[in-house]
Amino acid sequence: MRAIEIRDLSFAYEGSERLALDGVNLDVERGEFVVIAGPSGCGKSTLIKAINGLIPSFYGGSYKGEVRIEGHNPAKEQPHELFKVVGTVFQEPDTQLLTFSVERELAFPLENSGVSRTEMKELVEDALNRFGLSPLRHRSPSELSGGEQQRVAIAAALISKPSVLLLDEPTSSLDPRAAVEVLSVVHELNRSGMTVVISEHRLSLLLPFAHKLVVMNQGRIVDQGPPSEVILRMANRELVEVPDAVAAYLGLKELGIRFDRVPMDAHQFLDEVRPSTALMR
Amino acid sequence: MIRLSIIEFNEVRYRYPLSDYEVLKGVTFKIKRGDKVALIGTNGSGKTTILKHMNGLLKPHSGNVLIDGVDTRRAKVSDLARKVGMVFQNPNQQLFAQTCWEEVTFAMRNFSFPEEEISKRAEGVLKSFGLWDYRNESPFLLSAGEKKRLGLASVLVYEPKILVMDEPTSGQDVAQKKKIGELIQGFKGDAVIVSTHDLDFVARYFDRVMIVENGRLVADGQAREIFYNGSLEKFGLLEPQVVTISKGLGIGGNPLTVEDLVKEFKEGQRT
Amino acid sequence: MSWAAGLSFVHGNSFLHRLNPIPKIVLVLGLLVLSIYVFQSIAYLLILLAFTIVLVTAAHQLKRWWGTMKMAMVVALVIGLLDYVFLGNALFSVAMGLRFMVVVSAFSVFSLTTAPEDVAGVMLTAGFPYALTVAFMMSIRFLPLLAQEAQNIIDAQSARGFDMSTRNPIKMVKNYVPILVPLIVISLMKADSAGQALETRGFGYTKDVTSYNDVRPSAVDLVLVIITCIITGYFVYLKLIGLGF
Repeated sequence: MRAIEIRDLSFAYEGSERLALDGVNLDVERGEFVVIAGPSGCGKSTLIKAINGLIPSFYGGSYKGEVRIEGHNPAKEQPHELFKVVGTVFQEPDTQLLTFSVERELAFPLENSGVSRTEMKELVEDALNRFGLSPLRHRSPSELSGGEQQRVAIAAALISKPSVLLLDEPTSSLDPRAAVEVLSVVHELNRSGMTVVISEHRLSLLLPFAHKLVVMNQGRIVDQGPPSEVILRMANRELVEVPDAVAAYLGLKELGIRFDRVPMDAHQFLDEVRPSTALMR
Repeated sequence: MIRLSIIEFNEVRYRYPLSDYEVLKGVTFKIKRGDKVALIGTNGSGKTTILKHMNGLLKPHSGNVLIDGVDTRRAKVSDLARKVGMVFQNPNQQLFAQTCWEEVTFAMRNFSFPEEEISKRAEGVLKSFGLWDYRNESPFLLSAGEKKRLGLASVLVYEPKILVMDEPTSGQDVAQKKKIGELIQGFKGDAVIVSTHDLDFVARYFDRVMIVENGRLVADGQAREIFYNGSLEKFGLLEPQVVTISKGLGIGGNPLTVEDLVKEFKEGQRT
Repeated sequence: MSWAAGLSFVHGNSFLHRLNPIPKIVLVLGLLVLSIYVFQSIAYLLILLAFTIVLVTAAHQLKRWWGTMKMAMVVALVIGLLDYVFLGNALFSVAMGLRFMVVVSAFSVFSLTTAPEDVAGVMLTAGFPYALTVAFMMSIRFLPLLAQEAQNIIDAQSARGFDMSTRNPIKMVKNYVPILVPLIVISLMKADSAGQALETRGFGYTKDVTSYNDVRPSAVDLVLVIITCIITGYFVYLKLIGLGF
């Protein structure tokens, strides 16, 4: 079974004529790490909401097409039924943390699903350890740094053991260090088998380990495939941020430097170039 | 007397009311006419607090802030705002009018601009920001990117001498970032001060960089120097990829953009 | 310490922290009855205040409590002055000011030592619908965020030359529009975000929700409730039969 299947999905928000999603087709295999990128308003957020069921339950509008998430249909099941299948992390760190301590935040989804107290305590302990949150367990979410808040959000999204993790621009309000911290957690999760779909602007932090890059514009998918191939096609199109390492690769290739593969970040770049060029000044 | 520095911070210390904790611990710097400065540092370092001292929203506990020679403690915010235009990170904090036109003319009305002046400028700025078609629409119907443009337009419309922006590129896509950068480059006023953690953006559009850490100014100089002398790593900031690559390849000239990097590389190859 | 510091929950291991919310709620109610209805004299009110200070000290939260009390003293002063100006009775005015401080102090002791989730838990066991208890928690959770936003909005509008100072009452009302509209819009946006988070964390999955902490009162808790009721009741009785305090 595929993790996610989307067929001819079209959606317009209530009261709007413009199609937020226009005939989207996408497959995500289990264990895949998919990055969705594109200009503001391209439909990245809307697509994520269509996968976890917020569309169409939470947001009315015209809905056409089919979505299957681990076999479930989000058009027929409510998000609060799907939360055991797919966990979501949102852009704003503060407003998605609903309780007054990290510990209770992790317990909240379990309370909602009627899990017994003993099992809850175990699962929460487990998650606190797994995500390095034990020292923060009694802290109030508002007191945490942005990076810590997003780590808590990830842990809370995964406490009910879904197999798919969705993230909607999770590093938007974080500084680069915190962004790296959060994304490395996500990377680790994917390495242990979690299917990850993340919408982001800052591609240089994700492309080195993503399996698939999907580029959207005006509700449509304009390109999708392995990051190293798609990103080259995106150069000079101003739809997504082309990482500087890729731009440098293109610049140096023109000067005759040979590369075995397209580097996605500075480290990969230096791995490629250093052995084959002597250019010390 | 022609004053060289239009913004002066002298040993500025600041504490939030009813709090013991000093957010700014003696910040001193001068900004001259023509400067384009980026304030960088981790979230919570005090960057926004420094910005808010520039139009008098916050007043120092000790030390002083001079804007074009005027001590901010002796001036009203509404007067300082005429000289210092501040654009905040979240445009939703200012949008309130029935139409975009009303929104864009709000500041000018506050400053008692004459009517024909108001209409002329409003039309000009809405057109140059691509918002003219929305002039009679509610600002709440705009997309996030358009809202941010409207916020920026509402400040630039009254031509403040000094432009101050808090995280102008956060959450923005490529095209929007480019427009903001070009706007900064083309700004005809006296100075631009931007607080940001987008170091790639800083590398491309700013000459002067100030690093703020824990309420203190810990570095102040040319971007080209600061990005390459280890300051970034020292203060826990992530090095832009261009810098990492250029250091790793031993490229000279301290390039800050990919174009410069390629150019320097070419020069290096010839020798 | 900000003025809100004494009104937020802080984790701890003191006796008060570990105590079930129910006896604490009853204690606050008892203090309210005693300070507002029963005790009129300054001496007795000071005793009540001292009692709350003892409790705060036992809970190790003196610093935060003081942050809130500093602001409370300012308000108490205003209350006292207004009472004196309008009623002329100095002792009564001081008592009114003190009364306010006792009330704030009582709430502070409660807030500092009781997790809002546990209060919600008590509400749930008392039969309130789950959605209501969650709404209650959300409002406590988001109020400080909205207060912060209000300040941000005032800053943003001031930065556009918006001058809030005016003596004209009509203008004063109009002046609230550039502040209230963004605040309402932002509140709605936050509510939307919170709603999405609630949905995707399973709110509504089942009616049989469980709770992380056990908030059922034990025998000790019931004894404390009874003692508090007896003491408070006794003083109310004394007052009713004519004794002055």
